[in-house]
Amino acid sequence: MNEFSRRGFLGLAGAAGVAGLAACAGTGTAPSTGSGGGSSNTIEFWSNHPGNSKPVEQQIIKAFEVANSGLKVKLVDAGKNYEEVAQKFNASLAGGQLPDVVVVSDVTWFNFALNKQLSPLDELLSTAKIDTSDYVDALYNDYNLDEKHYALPFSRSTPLFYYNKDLWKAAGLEDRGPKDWDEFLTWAPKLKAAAGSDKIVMELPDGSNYLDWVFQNMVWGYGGAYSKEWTPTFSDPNTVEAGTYLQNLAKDGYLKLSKDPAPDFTAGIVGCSMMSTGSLGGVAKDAKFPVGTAFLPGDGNCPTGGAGVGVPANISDDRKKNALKFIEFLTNAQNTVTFTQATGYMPVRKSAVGLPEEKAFLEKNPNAKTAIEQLPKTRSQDNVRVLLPGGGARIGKGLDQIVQGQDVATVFKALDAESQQVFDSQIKGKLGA
Amino acid sequence: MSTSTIVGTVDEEKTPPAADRRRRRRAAHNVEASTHNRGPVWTAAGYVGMVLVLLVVAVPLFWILVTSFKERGDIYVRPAQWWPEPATGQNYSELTTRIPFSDYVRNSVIITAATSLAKIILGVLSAYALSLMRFPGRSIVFIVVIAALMVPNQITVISNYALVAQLGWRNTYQGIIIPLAGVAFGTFLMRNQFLNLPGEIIEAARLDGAGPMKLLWRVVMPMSWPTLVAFALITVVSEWNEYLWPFLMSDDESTATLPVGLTFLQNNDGVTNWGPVMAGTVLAMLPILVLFLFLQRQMIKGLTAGAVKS
Amino acid sequence: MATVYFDEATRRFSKEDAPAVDGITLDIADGEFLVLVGPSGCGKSTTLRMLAGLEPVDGGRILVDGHDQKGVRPRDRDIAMVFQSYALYPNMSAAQNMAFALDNAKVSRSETRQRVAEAAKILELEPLLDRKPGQMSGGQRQRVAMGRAIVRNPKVFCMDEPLSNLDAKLRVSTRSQIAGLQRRLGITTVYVTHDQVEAMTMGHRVAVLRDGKLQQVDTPERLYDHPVNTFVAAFIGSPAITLVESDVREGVARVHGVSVPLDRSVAGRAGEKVVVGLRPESWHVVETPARSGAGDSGTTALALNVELVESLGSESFVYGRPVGADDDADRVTVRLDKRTHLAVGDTVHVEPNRGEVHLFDAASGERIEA
Ligand SMILES: Nc1ncnc2c1ncn2[C@@H]1O[C@H](COP(=O)(O)OP(=O)(O)OP(=O)(O)O)[C@@H](O)[C@H]1O
Ligand SMILES: [Mg+2]
Repeated sequence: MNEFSRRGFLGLAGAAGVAGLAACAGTGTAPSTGSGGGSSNTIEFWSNHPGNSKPVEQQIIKAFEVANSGLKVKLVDAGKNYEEVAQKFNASLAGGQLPDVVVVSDVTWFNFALNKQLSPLDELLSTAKIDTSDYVDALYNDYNLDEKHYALPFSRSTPLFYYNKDLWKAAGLEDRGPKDWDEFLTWAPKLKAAAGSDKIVMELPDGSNYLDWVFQNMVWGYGGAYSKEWTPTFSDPNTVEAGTYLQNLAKDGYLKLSKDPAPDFTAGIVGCSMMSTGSLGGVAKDAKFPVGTAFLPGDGNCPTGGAGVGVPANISDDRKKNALKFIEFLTNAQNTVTFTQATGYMPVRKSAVGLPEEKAFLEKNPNAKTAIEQLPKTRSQDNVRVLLPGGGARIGKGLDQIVQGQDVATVFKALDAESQQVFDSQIKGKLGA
Repeated sequence: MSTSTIVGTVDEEKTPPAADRRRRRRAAHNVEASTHNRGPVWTAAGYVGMVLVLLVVAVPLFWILVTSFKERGDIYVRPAQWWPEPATGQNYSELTTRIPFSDYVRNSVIITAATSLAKIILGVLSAYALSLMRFPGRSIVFIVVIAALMVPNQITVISNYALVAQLGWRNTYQGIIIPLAGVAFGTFLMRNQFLNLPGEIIEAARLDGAGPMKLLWRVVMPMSWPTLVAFALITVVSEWNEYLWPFLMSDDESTATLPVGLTFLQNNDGVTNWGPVMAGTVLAMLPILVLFLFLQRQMIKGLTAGAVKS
Repeated sequence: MATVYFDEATRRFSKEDAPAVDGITLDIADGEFLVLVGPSGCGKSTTLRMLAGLEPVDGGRILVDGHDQKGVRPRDRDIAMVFQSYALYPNMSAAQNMAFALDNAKVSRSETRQRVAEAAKILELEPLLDRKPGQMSGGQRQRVAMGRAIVRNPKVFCMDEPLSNLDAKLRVSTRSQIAGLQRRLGITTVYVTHDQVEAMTMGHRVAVLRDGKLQQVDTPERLYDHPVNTFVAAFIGSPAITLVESDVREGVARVHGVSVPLDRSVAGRAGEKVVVGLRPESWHVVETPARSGAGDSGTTALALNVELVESLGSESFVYGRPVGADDDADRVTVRLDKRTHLAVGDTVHVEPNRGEVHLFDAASGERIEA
């Protein structure tokens, strides 16, 4: 239900953006005043509490307020998902009263950055003498536009390969994930035989629910990509090969798409899936069989995901300084450990893994370890998915068509053309400006 | 907590009496016109349709109810459990501990009551002015009202946001209520209702010396109750379920409404525990259901019976 | 208590169509009971509504007590209306319906109660006072509508076919009650009806409308005896007058071959062609038809082939066609007294009564008066 509405709100956020501009023009007020409302010693933190993190957010805030007397943090329920936070932020850009710190996802940050609605953080970071080298590089560089960083990683996730150990055993397979997708293809018939007719070998989210996110792994595995920098490369033979592979999985009856594979997987009727690390806690808790996790197939082919925190552009420098102080605290090694252990996200600091409480935690939760060990093998996502407006939805729709049996080359060619056109009309002119 | 579910309940409640009436009418018809008796086929078709509607509407509802009493591990099992085994109130208590449920209920009640009341009063008064009173520029005003209906919600939301933010009304009741009290729909609906009233009754009242307010309260409104009740019901349900605006305006449980609050039970990035969500949905549905059952009795048809020669 | 004066009053619903009410001039005296008749759609209701202020006056004026009513709101005119469609307040009981106007006028409770009771008594509504309109028959509703007007004791009553839904017996009694009441209260009344008897018995004067134009305003007797044109002649009287077109030769008109001698003064004004009008009672039966001396100039008695006999007890009406006439010839209506027994298919000989012949110009339909 919530999954379903995500994309809906994405569209809405876009519309709100457009309307926001119109409203600005109409009222000609607040946003340009430089202060954007708010007071300078209360930090408003707009969060969707990713991974049900409200209590742990409050806990960190309390610690922050103790450490910085005179500063207060107001935690605002800014939405039920990243798209809603973006929407609410968009509305505030039109109407004034900006937050100090806002959660922005891998998909939503770029548009704000491009339109200069988020502050570039580099200068502030260096003034505040914050060392950014401790942030996991792949995660830190996800927010890079024109050599400036517009957010710091906060609730970051990657997909994991989840599998049902009982089924694996029944199929006579080793207790591990596939090395690559070719190996998976040799496993699939065995899994199908073991699963029987009422179960499904693999279930993935459909194109409206981030198939385009996990499918990057297959594409990269076959040497393809959605794009190289800003040039769409759907028609690249390797990309087409990955598309064909996906299509054949469906054709051969190994693959099913659904809004949310987690319930089916948890119910034991799905053999394996690629899902966010964020699902780990819930799945492990609900499943009545041993859950296995593994790296995504291939090497260094794991896309990143999740969200970071940014600072609006049109607030006073004082507020920006305080905001950054809070962000640094929120994402420091200690707190990233606290936060990720409560939620299932991944620590965003290199040094976090060395902390004793994290070591103890990983000892107890081997599945969580999989995620962290996979972290160095992650790769930043392709621009046309995360940075082009509507990119994810556009690709997801194409992938749905492929799974339904439409010609891969044709669909990808169309995606090339559409992506290029969106880039030319909406992004090109603003880059480097 | 979606509108459709709530309206769904409503339909389900209505079905049996309606079917009952139909059956009786059908029976009477058969007695009268036994010469060409195609009754049984149609009766059967009627029942099939009824059962279909019941299935479509009632099954999801039943599922929500049952799930709200299940233990977490039982929600995702296959084959599906159609009865909570064992039943537990756990989800309901979790509902109140994981989110400030009673705060959300309070906000929802206050905001729904205030906006609905404002909408109904403004809707009736403006519709009355636009249908039964003559003043210069009346048609212009009406066109403006209709135009307001045409503007997509997302657009007005942004301009309203700017306005409310400048007044410093974000995260306040009035900030949520006042912009929601726009009346275009009610004006439109009630105006239609008023225009459809037999004109001679209103003329009779005018000749009888009734002033504008007396005309409205003693003559026009009593003939318009069914429409008003329907309008009120639609308004209350949609206010109760209103999401976008309260979400944008509220920052925390001091003003956030139930639909906004319930979303915090869902995990934004991972697996949602649907038990408490379903429990919340059930509880959010109840007040509206009660209100409906209460108002439904007011929706008697034929209030103008006997007023004019047909 | 008021005089009403329509001065060239006109109502035009649309520019293209002919006016619904077309330049009516009508002077109604204080306390007069004026009956308005005419075929459906002729503008009777519209005329009433103009008087009540429910329709604008597009031309001319309407004066009440000498005051132009232009711009006076309906509620300020003190005119009570009984609508053709009852227009009762469905949510109020009969008593409340009647009390509503008094309530608005801030009449005291006790007086209201008394006036309602009085009206209820006149209209035989006493057992129904607590019923809502939905629980009453058409006739009962109509009586409540009457009562609503009566209790107000207004300057003018406008009644739009208030008795059309009553059964015959109730209609007769209510008819005389209304007439009596009106005379007692002396309230100027404009009363629209379709009913011949109401038109002839209730009013001081009757106004006949046709296509929005006033044809004739007169006492019932004059209207009956001296209709100004064929329309009025045909409209007033039941069964209707027999109108036959005829040539006039040497002061003699012919009705189906029967020569009808005309008064010399009248004959002088008549053109080549006239319309001869004979009411049913203007014939008498002749047992043995005598031939007139003039040979081919025709007979004085008309032989009718009886096609229909309406026996009303005290009298009967015979409808027949002249013997030998083709099927599309006009029917002749003759009133007979009860002693005459005729059956369909019989032949009866009738002669027009001298001096009871109405004569109209064939082209204009206007009466040719002596
Ligand atoms: N509101 C209106 N708009 C346009 N035309 C109207 C309207 N009301 C009446 N008319 C027309 O005006 C003419 C007179 O109507 P009116 O109601 O006065 O007739 P009436 O004499 O009362 O007929 P009836 O005996 O059937 O009640 C009719 O031709 C009618 O069609
Ligand atoms: Mg009429």
